[in-house]
Amino acid sequence: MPKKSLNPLTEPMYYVLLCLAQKNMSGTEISEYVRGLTSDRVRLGPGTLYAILSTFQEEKIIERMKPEGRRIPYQITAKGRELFQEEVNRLRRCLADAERDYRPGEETGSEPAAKAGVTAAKPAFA
Amino acid sequence: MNLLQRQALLRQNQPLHKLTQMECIMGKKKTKYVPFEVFEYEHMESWLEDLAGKGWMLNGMFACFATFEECKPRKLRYRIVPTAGGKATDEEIAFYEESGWKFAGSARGLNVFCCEDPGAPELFTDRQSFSKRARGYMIGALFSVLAFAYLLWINLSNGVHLFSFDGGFLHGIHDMGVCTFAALSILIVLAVIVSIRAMVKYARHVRRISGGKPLYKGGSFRGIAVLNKTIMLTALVCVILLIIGWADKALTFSNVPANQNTHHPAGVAQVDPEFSEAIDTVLGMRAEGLWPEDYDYDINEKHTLLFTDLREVLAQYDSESDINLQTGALQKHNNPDGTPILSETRYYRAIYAVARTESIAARFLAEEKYIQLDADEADLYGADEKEVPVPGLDQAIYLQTHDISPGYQYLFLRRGRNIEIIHYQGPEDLKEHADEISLDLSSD
Repeated sequence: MPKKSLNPLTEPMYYVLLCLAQKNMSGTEISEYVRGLTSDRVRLGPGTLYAILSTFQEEKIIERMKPEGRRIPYQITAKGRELFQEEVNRLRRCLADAERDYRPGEETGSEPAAKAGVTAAKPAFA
Repeated sequence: MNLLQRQALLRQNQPLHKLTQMECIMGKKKTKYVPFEVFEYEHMESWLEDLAGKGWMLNGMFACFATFEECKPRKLRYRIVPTAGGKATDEEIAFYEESGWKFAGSARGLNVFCCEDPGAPELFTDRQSFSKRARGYMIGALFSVLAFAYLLWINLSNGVHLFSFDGGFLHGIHDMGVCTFAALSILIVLAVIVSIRAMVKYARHVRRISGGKPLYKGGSFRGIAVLNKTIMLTALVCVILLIIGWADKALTFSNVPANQNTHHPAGVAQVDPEFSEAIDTVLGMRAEGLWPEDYDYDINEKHTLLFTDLREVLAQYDSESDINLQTGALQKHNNPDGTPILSETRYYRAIYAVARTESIAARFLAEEKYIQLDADEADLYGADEKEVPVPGLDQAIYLQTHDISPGYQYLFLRRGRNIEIIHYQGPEDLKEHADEISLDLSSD
């Protein structure tokens, strides 16, 4: 049973597992890959990355491989793969829920707004 | 540099970033007190950056001190990583160095990294990882608060009675129990304050970054530095006082051993020859060389903070009871043939002291008078006080209480810095011996 803090995964954790689910990588490679993948939106500082990799190792989600010089690669375990798949499924369901119910521009809840005395603004070009 | 190039460098054990080198132009070093607590790492970062801008690079840390080396002034970023286990592991340091952060020192569970590359990423870019570390420190601070609060309670419950200033200020200073209690109380209170501050600061910090505020806010360190220096200075003064007091006490006892042969100016023989003879008889009955430390001198101090010489002699004979009434009591003793040594209760206590100043002598005498009368409940039973006309003395007061018969008699004598206090219970009239006793008091 993974830690409560791993359910759901944080965004940096999610991206670390996303990298390792594809291939074995070292810390620096993970950091660079995520930065490129998210167009610089998600940056993983070494402190953050080290903390995540340590937690994942404690939880047997990833394993440290034999170092190649100063490069220390990590690989995902079966448990990690399962956890990542669950997270992807959860995110898919979240997205599906939003796509099914949410229509941008169609606001709901006008009644409570009216009750609260909020007057709807008149369209500029009625 | 692309990913493949980075991988190649790592495999060849080559650094990815050019780490900040400590090229020092002068080679000068200095050690500075770090005026921050472990929870004030943001202020410490600003302080280190400020010093780097002035040309002083952090070279290492130990306890509350940091060593710096004079270098070319430069703009550096310092970041502190709190680690509950103490120093960061080699693996963690290598991990950070791959991103351009050089390890600069570690002390008290704080690991300091610095970076000259403005493009290098922040060490922590998510709130959860940093909060986790900060939370560990917060729990540690909570335990410290509880531990120090318990110590404070123990200290107060054991020592608060020492703070009855009835005895007077000089007696308070002179009593190392009071000094130790006061210094320890101040130290523990400071420790409690610091621990509470640590807990509150970490809690605020965790709340701040959990609420989406930036991880690093920086800010001025100067006010915090002044406050912490004041706290540390207070603690240092307390520790120095404790050391001086203990050393003073230890030296007097080890260097000036008291025994029955130690000269005491105010001998009981001057007042009550019969009592003096009885004491000699008892001493003679004891094995030779055996120091009856609970009998004769119970205090023999020299070169204390207040006095260049302070001696006290105490002897008591209780004709009615075998009970040892107090420390220094001469219990009921009989001659070898079974007859009593004395026919009635006797008590004799003499204090001879040379104070460092005349005002200390006068004040101490006044306090001692108050203490003695208070102990004998003179307010309750009444006491006669009169000046004794002894030529050459600055003060000569005779007192007699009426609570028991024969009543307690006192002589308080002072000549300049020299004081002599006699406390006697017996058949002799103490004031008739005032001239004789005052001869012990040499003039300065």
